Amino acid sequence: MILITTALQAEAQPLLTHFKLKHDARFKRIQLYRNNELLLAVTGVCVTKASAVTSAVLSQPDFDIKGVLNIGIAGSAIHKNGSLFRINQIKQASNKACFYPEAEPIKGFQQTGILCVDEPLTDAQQLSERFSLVDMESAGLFTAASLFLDVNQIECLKIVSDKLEGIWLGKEFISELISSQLNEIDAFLNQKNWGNTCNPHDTEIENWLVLLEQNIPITLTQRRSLHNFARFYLLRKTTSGLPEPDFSTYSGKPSERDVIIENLSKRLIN
Amino acid sequence: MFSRIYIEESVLEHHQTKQILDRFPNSERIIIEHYKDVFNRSGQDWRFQKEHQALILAERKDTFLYAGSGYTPSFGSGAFYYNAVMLNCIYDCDYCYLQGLFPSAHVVVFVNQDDFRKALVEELDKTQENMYLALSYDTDLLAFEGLFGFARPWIEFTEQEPRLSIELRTKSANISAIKGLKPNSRTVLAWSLSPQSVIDLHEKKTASLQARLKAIQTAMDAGWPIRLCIDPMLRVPNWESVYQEFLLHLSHSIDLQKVKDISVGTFRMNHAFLKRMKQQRKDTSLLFDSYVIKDGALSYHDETVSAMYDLVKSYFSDEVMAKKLDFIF
Repeated sequence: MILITTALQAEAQPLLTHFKLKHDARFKRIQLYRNNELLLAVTGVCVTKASAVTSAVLSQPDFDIKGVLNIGIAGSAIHKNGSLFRINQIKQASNKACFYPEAEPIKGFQQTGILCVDEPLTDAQQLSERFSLVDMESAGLFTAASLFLDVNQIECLKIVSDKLEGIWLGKEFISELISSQLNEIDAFLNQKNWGNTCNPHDTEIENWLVLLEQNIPITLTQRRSLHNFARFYLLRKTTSGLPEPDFSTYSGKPSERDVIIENLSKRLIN
Repeated sequence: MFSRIYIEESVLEHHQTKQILDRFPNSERIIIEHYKDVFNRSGQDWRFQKEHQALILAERKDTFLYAGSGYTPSFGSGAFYYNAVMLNCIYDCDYCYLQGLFPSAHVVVFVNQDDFRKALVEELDKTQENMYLALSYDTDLLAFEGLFGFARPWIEFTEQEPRLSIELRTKSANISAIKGLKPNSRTVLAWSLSPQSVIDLHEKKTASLQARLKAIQTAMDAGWPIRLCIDPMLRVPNWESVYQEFLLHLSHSIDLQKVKDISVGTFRMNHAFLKRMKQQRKDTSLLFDSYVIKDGALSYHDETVSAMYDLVKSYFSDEVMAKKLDFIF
């Protein structure tokens, strides 16, 4: 699944409707929504909350999350309101730490860096060509997500909402900004390669080892070696499955087991 | 190629940076402070990056020269050193140790090439020994020559330094990139060679065997000293017949008597590198074979290594050719 995070409920609302996401009540204090492919968590505003909520959701093993996408509004002194940017670097203003999502090319998405601050920013001098946007969550999102995922699996899309005037933005205005980019968000999700996290032959090897262990107790070292050799065998011989072990000589003695495992290893690697 | 280029802020105005950027006018440019901020990030996916390789332009600030590793011979040409004028490669060899050495698959180019040569002159001044320098250790410089042109000034530099010998090792067929340069007895052009079936399966994006042999012949005819590297020999299915056919083809394709020497090695790998590589990828049988640890490195069992070396020896059995062979381990 892909986890979308937004800071505000007003940012989430158009996405909930667009992707037909239903409320998931597993967390008492985290607004979480889902369908079969997407999760959406509303983190709240600030680095700490973004980090905590992202971690909490990514910690749920049954979700099998293979990517995180932060969608939200951002301030900018130079870009037009409503412009969409993909973030290629994040600088945390409080400690100057920089984070780099992989941001491999996706056609049609302009990129820039973002400054992540702890308090709303009104001083345009703190932004630059390199960091031309400002928000209050991206560093927290990246820090938390990078504990669970690779850098190519963490993305931020930001829509320019203001010129750092320090004015209050209404919920409807924020929702409209997100709504105006739904086609782009769709296009991004369709094009984005979140990386292949499944390995060939894992299931086949594991099932084979479990079957083996039901007949003969093997040591951890033997298991690890057999796992490697089984993969070697399958990668070299793509047409046949793993060989069936012969347990006929096993009466319970470790020495008999060792001989069986040795013979089996030879069959796998020769 | 290189749709993204990361550039250290401090080298933005460097002439080499400008030249390289001119070659990639459509690439996205991302300014960074230090190349390690990107190259050494945690949580990078090597295989993913290999499909979306970026270029990083940086300045090398120190360590311009390394003492050589015991896994590589110096061919009797003096103290063995290597440098890292670039990191990583455009080729995608399944067995490449760079996958275990570096956290990133992105290509780093150090634009201050002159500083590498200055450091070398200082080292040569300090030592009375001859120096043998492997230039393409963590990259394939000739493969990149059309883009960066780094090999050419190194060859010219070597000509001026009588105590320096260099080796440029490649899997490319890019001999035309150094066309016009005067061959120098201390600049050895070395080609890694493998059977075509091994190239197809395990050396993705590299030049075909035929193209490499053609480039070797061209270089040899021009007068360059040539080293053939049958390295690493791999225990592929039916390896005996695969390598027999390859050696036969090799002996028929080029005049081996004119070759300076032939370096032969079987697959070997630093233990920690292989462990990292296995975590990164599970799609190539090479990493999951049965290996033994010898002198801190993983390699095939002795009987396999001996059988591989015996096979090579049987094809180069005459006295002159036998003297040209250099077996690693």
